[in-house]
Amino acid sequence: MEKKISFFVVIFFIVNTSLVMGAEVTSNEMKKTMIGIKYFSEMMGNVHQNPSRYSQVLTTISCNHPLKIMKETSKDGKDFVLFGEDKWNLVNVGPYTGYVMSDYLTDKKNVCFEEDYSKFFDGLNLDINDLYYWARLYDQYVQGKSKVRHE
Amino acid sequence: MNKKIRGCLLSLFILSSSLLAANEVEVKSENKPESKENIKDDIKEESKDLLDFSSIKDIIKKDGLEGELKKKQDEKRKYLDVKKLKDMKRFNVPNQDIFWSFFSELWLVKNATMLKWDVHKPDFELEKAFTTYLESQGHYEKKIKILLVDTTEIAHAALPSNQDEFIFILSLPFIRTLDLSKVEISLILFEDFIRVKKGYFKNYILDKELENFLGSNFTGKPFDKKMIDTHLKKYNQVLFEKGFSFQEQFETTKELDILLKSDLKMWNTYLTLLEKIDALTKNNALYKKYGQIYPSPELQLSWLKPKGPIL
Repeated sequence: MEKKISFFVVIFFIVNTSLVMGAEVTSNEMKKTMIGIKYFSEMMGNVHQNPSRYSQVLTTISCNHPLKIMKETSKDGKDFVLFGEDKWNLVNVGPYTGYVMSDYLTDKKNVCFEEDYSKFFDGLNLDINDLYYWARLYDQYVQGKSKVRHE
Repeated sequence: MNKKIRGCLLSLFILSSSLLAANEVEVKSENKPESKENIKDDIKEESKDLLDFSSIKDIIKKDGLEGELKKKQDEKRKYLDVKKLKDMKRFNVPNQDIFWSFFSELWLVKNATMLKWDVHKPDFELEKAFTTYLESQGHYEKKIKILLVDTTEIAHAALPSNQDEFIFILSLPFIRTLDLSKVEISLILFEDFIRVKKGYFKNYILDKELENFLGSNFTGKPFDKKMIDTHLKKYNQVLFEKGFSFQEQFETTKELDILLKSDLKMWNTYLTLLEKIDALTKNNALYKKYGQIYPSPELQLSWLKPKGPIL
């Protein structure tokens, strides 16, 4: 009888602890809200699990793919739109929520090479491997633009 | 009574036979083959109809129905023309203004495993250093893409690209072996920037065949993939075998000499950089081919150093 009671106590303790921990996760989670739609501007690209070019790839997208841009709001009401040294946007694409480099997103639809020259692009017979590398290429590039700076 | 019944039967008989007779006449008239007279009648009627149409033509004109028909036909023709044009446009080949960046990236994609660029690399913030340097040299609104590669097969290069776009390849082992600073790396990239601006690389790739193909349309013809593959191979020839000529290298070095002399510190850094590369190519077997692609650091130094005695 004592054994049974101690067994139930242990079970109760485990369930209770896990519930408390679960509540903590939810409370730490930030509220995500959609703030608009943006379009992917490059040939191919990746949606990453974290705001890093080396983070796991959730899905691959192509030029002009619409993405839902999200913002995160912390418990104290602070809004976060850009992440990881202000280079990444949190996005929703189909079933995935991940990060895309903000430099590759535009407010309006883009002129896309594979759309404008569809038969030429098809003629190249790019396989899945090529498309994978094309998306990786845009992860691996370090990019910049020289500008006239007014000091 | 009998008389009455007879009378009824008789009248019934007369009625039914008259009905039958009428029916027979109807069937006969239906099955009757068209006689010549009938055909003539039909033609007459048809011609009457035609005559009738011409007689109402003026009325149709007045009603604007003819105009409406013409408008509808024009609309249909226009729609078909637009559709045909749209279908044809899909077979367009990009012109030179938008071809080069795409083609260079295609080469990078096709040679990804050989160039080993899909690896984890530290963030040197080279793009910031180089754009700042470009700005100091007065080159604004230039979009740069730098791809670090983990190979010694290629040390550095700028690939042909669209106007105001620049794609650079830079070897990670090369910059590590020479222990290059950000300024030195910027100078290497700037040398490539000048070289690509002069169009040497593009001129090696672009022959008459490719020139004619770019900006054309291949509707009704098969896509010439063989030509694309042949020209992709030309990239390999330039970057791994043939390289640049002495004349091209001389012109590049002389232009850098002029551009850098306004800042003697920078000019000296360039000189030191060339000395480092010269030593590397002479002592490290991995970089023996460097002088073949960019002939040659030793010559570049001789072109840069003043001839007479320094007073």
